[in-house]
Amino acid sequence: MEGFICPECKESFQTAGLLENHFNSHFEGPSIKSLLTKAKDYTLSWISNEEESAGQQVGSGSSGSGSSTPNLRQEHRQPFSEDQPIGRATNLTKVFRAVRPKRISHSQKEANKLHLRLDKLVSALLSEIRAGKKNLKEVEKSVIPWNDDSDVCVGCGEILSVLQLARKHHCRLCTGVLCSTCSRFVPLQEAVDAVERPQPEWLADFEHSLRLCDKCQNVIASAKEEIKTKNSDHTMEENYRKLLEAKGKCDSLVAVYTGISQSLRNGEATYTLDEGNVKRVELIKQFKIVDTFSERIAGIRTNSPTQLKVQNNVRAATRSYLQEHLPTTAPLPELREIHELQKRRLEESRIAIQAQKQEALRTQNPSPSPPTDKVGSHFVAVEPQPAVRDGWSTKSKKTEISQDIAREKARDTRVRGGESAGWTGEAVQPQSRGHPLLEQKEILRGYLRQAIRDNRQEEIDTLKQNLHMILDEIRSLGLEDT
Amino acid sequence: MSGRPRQNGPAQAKALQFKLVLLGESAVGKSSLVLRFVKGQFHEYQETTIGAAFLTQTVTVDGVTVKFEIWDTAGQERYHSLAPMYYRGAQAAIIVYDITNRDTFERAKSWVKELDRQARKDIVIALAGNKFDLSNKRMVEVEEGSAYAQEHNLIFMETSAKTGDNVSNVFVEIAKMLPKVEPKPNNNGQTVRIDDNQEAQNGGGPGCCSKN
Repeated sequence: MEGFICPECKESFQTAGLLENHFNSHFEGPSIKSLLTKAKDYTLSWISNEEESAGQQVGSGSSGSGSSTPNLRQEHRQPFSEDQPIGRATNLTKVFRAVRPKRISHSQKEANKLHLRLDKLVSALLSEIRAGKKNLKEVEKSVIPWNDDSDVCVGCGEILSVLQLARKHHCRLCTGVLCSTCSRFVPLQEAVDAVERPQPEWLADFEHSLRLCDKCQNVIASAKEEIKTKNSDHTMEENYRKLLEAKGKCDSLVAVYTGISQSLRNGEATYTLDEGNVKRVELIKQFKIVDTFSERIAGIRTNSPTQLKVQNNVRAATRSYLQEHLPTTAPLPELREIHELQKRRLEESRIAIQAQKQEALRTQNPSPSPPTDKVGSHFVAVEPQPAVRDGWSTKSKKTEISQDIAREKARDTRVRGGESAGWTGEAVQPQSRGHPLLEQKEILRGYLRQAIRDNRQEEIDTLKQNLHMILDEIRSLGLEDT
Repeated sequence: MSGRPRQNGPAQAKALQFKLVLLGESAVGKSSLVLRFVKGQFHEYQETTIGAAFLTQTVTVDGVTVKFEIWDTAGQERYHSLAPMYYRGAQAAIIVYDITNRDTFERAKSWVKELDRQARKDIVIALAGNKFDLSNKRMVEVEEGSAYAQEHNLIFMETSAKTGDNVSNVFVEIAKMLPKVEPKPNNNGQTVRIDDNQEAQNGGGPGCCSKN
């Protein structure tokens, strides 16, 4: 009795699957393992169903916002699904690009407006203060009329009115209504700095601050930041970056130019003299650019000694770099010289070709020693393949003959081993003289050793293959593998 | 086969049934081993088993007749998932490897582990190094097999289904190890006699080979 037999009821089934189903349903009790498997299957299928429906929701866009239950479920499921697949994605770059410039220009306009207002305000205040006016609030109010329509704080949205305890204030720039907690105060000195006006000496100990909203305070802060960057020495970094860029260009140009100049000096006709000269001018220009940047870096004024040191070092490094590479821009030979060089080269190549022809003629005539060497060893190395493929037993006689030839060749090689550059004979030393196959195996092993010693990967691979085939043959013939 | 129980007529009443399963890599000789044990035959070209084969054989040990229900499983990897079905509830198992093939020995080891994990705790396991007739081509030494068997408390024997060496001994040794309902006082001499008897039984079977 053989086949897919149930071990319990000895019933025979067509396939392993049927048997397993039968066995599991009839004899596999409700073991913990099977229960777990079932539970796992169930959970997995449930999760995949959920995921499917979730995917559909995403696919249908924002229409799912109507009912709240799916959202709840999704939220509930979140901790389980760590990497949720990305749903449908919409590319909004175009919209973004369309909207962005408008927004930027708008905010720029606003900022500019505020900046102008600040300028106006500051100048009025300064003149009024010099005139000795005390009620600066009135001055501010007169320069920029306050917006009194609203009773709502622009900062926190609280309703403010004269009747309430919280007093109504105004931002001095945007004129928006402010509560006391949302008011920011910027000293007049800072405001003067922000509009780039000279600070009068008497202002130093004058106490007055502008009441501003958050937004307008930021405008002043950013204006100050801008002025700071304009005046500061950030140019160092920028210049150094440009210097490196120019150096990189230089390097690639140097490589190209040297190639051209060498080729021209060799009398080759790959490039023309004009091409070379154009490249040369380009290269020299690039070197000048490098020099300028390094000069600029060195010329940056600074108070920090470390930065000064760095600047000087940069300049020195660039100088040595230029000194090293300038010789490559040596002028190219003149046209006349080039022609001469080319002529000479033509002559030389003609001679070389003639010599090669003669050489070829000589090699066609029989010159026995070097070629046989090669052919012989090659023959031995490759010979076993056909023999094995044909099947040893059927064509043994023929192969034995070829084996004999191979052996002779091998001996030949062995004799000449010293002078041959390829396979040397030392490896070809058949140890077991019993069966030609065994002998062949030894020969192959020798070659393999040699190939491994010389690190010739391709040969190692082919030799290994051959050896395996031989070994298989030996095994199938039942020869003792010693 | 039908004649044999009658031959052991008096012991038949006490016949104990044991489920025995053969496990091991494909082509190590599980089916040949069983065929030799059950029918005393040997096929040079035994076909590969599909699923599992079911055979029975009885042996008499210490006057107790033991009936083996032998499940000869297919060794091919694709039938591996069926194996637990067959060794589930088995009281005995023979794990077979081929002494001329190292890989089969490693596979045998993994079978031992699997049985330790999943089979009955009181299962009697025998490790059989088959193809003893090819011992000149052996890749697994006797010592290695027996050391492993000792370590894991297994019955160990090198067998040859081709020549019949040790084949029935394996089954007899297993039978001895199996719990008997009424243990009989026994001595070594008796055991030897029974072994001989077993060999004779096999020898007397139809289509017996003369090599033994």
